[in-house]
Amino acid sequence: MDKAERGLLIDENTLPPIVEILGRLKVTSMSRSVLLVGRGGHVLASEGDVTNRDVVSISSLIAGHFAAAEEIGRLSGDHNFHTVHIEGDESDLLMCRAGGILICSMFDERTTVGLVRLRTKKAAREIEALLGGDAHSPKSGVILDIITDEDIDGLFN
Amino acid sequence: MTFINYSAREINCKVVYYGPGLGGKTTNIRFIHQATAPHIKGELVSLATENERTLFFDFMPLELGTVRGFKTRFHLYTVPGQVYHGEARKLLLKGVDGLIFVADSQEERMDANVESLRNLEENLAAQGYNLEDIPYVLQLNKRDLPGVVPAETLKSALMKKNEPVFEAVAAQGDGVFDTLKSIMKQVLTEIRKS
Repeated sequence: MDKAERGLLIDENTLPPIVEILGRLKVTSMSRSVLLVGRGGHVLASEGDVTNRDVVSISSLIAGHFAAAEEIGRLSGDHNFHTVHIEGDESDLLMCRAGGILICSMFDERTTVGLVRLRTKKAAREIEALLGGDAHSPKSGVILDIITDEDIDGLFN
Repeated sequence: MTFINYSAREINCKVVYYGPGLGGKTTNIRFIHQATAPHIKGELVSLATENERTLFFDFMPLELGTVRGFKTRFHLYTVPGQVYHGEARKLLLKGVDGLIFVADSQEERMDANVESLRNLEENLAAQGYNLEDIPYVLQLNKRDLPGVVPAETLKSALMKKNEPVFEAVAAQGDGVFDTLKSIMKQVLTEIRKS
């Protein structure tokens, strides 16, 4: 694993088109909300009815759940589990891999699994294409080299 | 995987507590959750069995403050320590930025410490990491119990790379924040270097 896979940067130019894709996904799939989650469990962006939820914890669980599903796939002979659907009584989740990150659509009876799956996969391809370039590079837009030891110490005071 | 969102001015880092079963990983994270102010922490999520053994992981987010205008958030995870949860441990190392090894100071757990440390190195290698290159802290827990192995003996058996070592009694909070602070500093320093 090289450095590029260990760090993910989203610069000021990359985030707006991602948010736009997520917004479009929410509308066209008629989902309640959509999340973009890093494989390490960090929430990268969200759209929709997620303000009252603990998005940070949900994102962590999404990443864990998806990683477990992928591993089940590997152990059972399928090395490409790319979509996970969780069905509940009142709402469903659909998680889909988009390159090195995950899209999760949360939806209810106002839409169908088929539509959400179709739209989520399309959004995944678009986001994968967007993040395929410099956004993954730890060098893109780095200004963190101006952080000093005093800055770090200051966090603990 | 450190996630830096320049648009939202956020730095997100992942720290994992590793170590043998019943060594005190969950106790560390529970103490941190109890002892931190509500506005800087998120919910403590525990995927555990009915008898409170960690099944997949414990998780809590912790916001440290801002540095150069960037909100700094750490995601703290524990792994399940029991030997047969090996796959879960491997998965939790995905995207890790810093590691805390919680060793059990009791003599009868010495073999378990060594085995868990060996397992950590194997699982890191499976994810493409090397312990040498990752921010790392060793915590010697349960120092309050009678007849524990001397700290120097534990250090010589478990230290890997001149890492910071902290003696702790996690159930009482002793050493818990010193350990956490040390790994957080290392992680932030590493981000700056990269």
